[in-house]
Amino acid sequence: TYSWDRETIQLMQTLIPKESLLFIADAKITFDSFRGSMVATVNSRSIITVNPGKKPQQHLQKHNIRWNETPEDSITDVYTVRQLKQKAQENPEAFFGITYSFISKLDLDSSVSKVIRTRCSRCKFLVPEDMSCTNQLCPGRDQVFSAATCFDLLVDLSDHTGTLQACHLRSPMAEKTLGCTVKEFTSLTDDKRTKMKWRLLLERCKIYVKVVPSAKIKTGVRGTILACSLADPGEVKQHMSTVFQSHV
Amino acid sequence: MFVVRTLAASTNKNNSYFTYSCLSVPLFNQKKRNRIPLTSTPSENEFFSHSEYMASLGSIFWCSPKAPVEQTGHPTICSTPAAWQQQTCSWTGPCSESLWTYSTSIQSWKQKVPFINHLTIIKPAIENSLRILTAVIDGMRHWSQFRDKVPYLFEIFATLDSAVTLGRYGAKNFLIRDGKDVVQCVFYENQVLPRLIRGQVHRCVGNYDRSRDVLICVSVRPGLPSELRNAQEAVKACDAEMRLLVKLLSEV
Repeated sequence: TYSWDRETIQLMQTLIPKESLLFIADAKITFDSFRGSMVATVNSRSIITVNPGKKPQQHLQKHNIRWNETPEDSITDVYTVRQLKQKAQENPEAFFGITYSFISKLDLDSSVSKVIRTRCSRCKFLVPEDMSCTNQLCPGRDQVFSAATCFDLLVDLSDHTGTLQACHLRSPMAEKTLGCTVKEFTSLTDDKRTKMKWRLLLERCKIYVKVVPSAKIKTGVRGTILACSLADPGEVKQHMSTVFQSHV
Repeated sequence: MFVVRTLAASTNKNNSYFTYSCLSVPLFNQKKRNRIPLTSTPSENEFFSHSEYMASLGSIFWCSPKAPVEQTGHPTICSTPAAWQQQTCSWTGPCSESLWTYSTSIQSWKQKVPFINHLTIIKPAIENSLRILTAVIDGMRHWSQFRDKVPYLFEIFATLDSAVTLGRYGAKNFLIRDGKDVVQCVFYENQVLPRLIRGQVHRCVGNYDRSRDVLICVSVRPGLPSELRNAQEAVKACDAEMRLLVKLLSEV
């Protein structure tokens, strides 16, 4: 028999898909003939912990389940911009890599709408400011609208082989890259934003990037920045040495 | 990436002639899972899988809509133009010889020059997006001659060799030197210039104006010692890339 636990249902409604991590202890596992598979059911003895601390995460890692792993942990392949584009051509699947490229476009001091966007807390759809969620399938449709502002920038990455245009830099990676929260950013003066921009613009950075081949985009490639920081010159030297060898 | 020239045939009132032009036409055999539309003359920023491309090639002869020609299932493939058997055709394009000649003996068109039985690859298209090259001053002067073909900015590590003087419209002028080479720099105030110390190495990023022999800087700051140690390696790699690029440009 199923236990339609009202509290559990209410809890589930507060969770964010693809974001909330659940640690469930004492779930009942049975074979469900309707679904034709094993299913886990919570009952009065089950304990659900939302976003548990480090120990369960280590447990996941031990069993090779990736969760909230930082890009630095798992991405090691280094590419030039051309190599990123070439690989995207040859492969229909998304892939990850590092590039030591210059940021050649970073419009931090233009209109704020190019930098910060508002998203529905429930379904992550972009919404116009101060309006309710327009997503028909939003699970929070019947509830009070709740939005979160986040960074949503488009950045160009360039090296001596070319430019990867319009790479996404979004929260929470943007906060780490820029060194400030959305709230702090909105209260900055134009001069301060310009200064922040020039800290990174036309500087060589170490960028962890996810590359997705996409037919929807003219260039056929969409990059998403997972991490970005000023490059260590020693690492750049190493990379350049490798690049040079490949020409010889 | 390759740019492909296709043959275009057109008729006018007096005589028919082939004109040589580049048309972008949808190609056949686009596999269902192909994410990227294949065209015969891809624009410079299009990418496609070469293996899929080559697998679906056949002989291409693009015929004008007016000429009744046999068509296979694909709109872009035509067999020999039966309707043109009575006419002479010649090239008016870059090829001086006509490729097709009407043979009375066999009452049919014959290929004079054995047409390669797939798309003729004319030239490799060169990556046209912005590049940023680390260079020495001498190298920058040398590579800048190709600047009209391919866009790039230069990153130079050099010693400040003059005082910073104020010019018109808020321009800051100064000289930088590496070894024996010196170049004039100009920096327009789009940000506050940090204090530049004469005799110290600085990093300048900008656009080199070949006609005025001036580096128009958009970013100027003191260079870090660690950067200077790395710079040479970056210069080597960029020079190698540029040699390759120049080679490709000369083959066009």
